[in-house]
Order: sequence, then C-alpha cells, then structure tokens
Amino acid sequence: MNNSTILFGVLSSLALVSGGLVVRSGALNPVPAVFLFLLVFVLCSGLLVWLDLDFFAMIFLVVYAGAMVVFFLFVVMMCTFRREGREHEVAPRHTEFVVGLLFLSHLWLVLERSPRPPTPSAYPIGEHCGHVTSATHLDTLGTLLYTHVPLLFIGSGLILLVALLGAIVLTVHTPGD
Amino acid sequence: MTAVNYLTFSTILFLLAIGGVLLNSQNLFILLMSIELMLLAVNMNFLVFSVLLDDMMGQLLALFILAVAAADSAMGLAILVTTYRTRGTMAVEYATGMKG
Repeated sequence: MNNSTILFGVLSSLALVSGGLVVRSGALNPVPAVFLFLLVFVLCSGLLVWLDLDFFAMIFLVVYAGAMVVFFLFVVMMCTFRREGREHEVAPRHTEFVVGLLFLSHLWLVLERSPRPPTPSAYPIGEHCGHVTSATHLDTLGTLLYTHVPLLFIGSGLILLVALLGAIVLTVHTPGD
Repeated sequence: MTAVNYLTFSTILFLLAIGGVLLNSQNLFILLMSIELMLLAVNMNFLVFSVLLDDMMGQLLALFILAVAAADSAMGLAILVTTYRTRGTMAVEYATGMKG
C-alpha cells in the first residue's frame, strides 16, 4: 500500500462520510449540512488534482464552493428555519423503496454484464510521429468548445440565462402584491 | 490506485444522493443538496472516464453539467424561497401545493 492509495482512501472516505452526513443528519439544522456540503466539493477537487485535471479542480472550487455553496448559505440565513423535528414523519414509504430497489437491481445487472471498464484503444507507437503538436489542456478544451460543440455551448449559455431570469421573476417582491 | 477506485467512489456518492432524494421528507433544502451531490458524482464519472479513455468529450460534458447544475440550484433555491415565503415551512409533504 503506497502513499497515493492512502491519500486516495483518506480523501474519498472523508468525502463519502460528509456526503452521508449531509444527506442524513442535516434535516434538523441545515447550517452544518451546508458546511459539510462544501467539504465534499473541496475533497472532490482534491481527487481531481490527483487525476491531473487541475483546471477542473479549480473550476469545481470556483463554481461549486465559491458560488453555489455561498448561494445555499444565503438562503439558509434568509429563511430562519424552525426546528420542525420529526412531527410529520410518514411511516413506511413503499414507493420510494420500490424505486430504490429498481435502481439498485438495474445497477447490478449492468455491473454484472461488464465488470471492468473498457480499455483504451492502443495506437501503435510511432504512427503519429510528425503529425502531433502539443497543446495545453486549456487550449484543447477551448478549441473543442468553440469548433466542435458551439451549439451546445450557446445552449448552455441560454440555460443559464433562463435560470437567471427565472430566479429574478420568482423572487422579485413587488409591493402591490 | 486504478480507475475502479474512482468509479466506486462516484457510484457510492450517487447512491447516497439517491437515498437522500428518495427517503427525505423533512426538508426541501436537503433535497436540493442531494440533487447537487448527484450531479457531482456524475461529473466525477465523466471526468474519470475521460482520463481513462483519452477522450476530451467527457471533459466538455463535465463543463456543460457544471453549467446545468448552477442553473438547477439557482432555480431550485428561488422556488424554495418563494415556497417558504408563502407557506412558512420547508417540509416536502407540502410541496404538492405547487400543482396550482
């Protein structure tokens, strides 16, 4: 067991434990849940650094931890939660268990059919000599984004615009109402 | 440390988030955070497969998923604030009142 395995185990198990705490114990007091949520994203970006995806690790930190978690914190502070406890605990919820079991059985079927991930295709060594130019990660990403999938890029921009307008329209508070 | 470790990690995170969505009746807020965790697990999966298969398309899709996740949380939190303002509670049971 070398150092990378130990580091991966520590990062991933901390992320999983805090994810489970977010899901289960945040129902009564949401502020620690938001901070654990932040911890999950920071640990996941650490895992991405380990995969040499440093740009994505930075993007995760900026977008998730910088924007989204702050947004969640604003909402927590804006709506003062009453401790509602478990007063409306509905007893057995069969539908949810059935849906979860269906999902698990589907996952098991897929995993049983192909137990290992596909291997990358092996190119013969030296075939690309003279045709290969080096480019940085960010160069490749930008080139692909602007030349291969420009419509998806514009579409995601439109989705963000719709979300911006929708959030403003939903939460604007006119004094006439 | 192989790719299987990463895939196991993202699968377990996804299952945790699914459990949070399905078995949570307390708080709409936790529901939104579970959805974000689900998108995070899917994103990790795309990135790991993109590194494993030497294909940049997975990283492009991860960028798009990031944009969609941001839009998703913005809209969800706006709906949550409006619901809280009109109803004064965040329990999931009362979310059926949004049918109109």
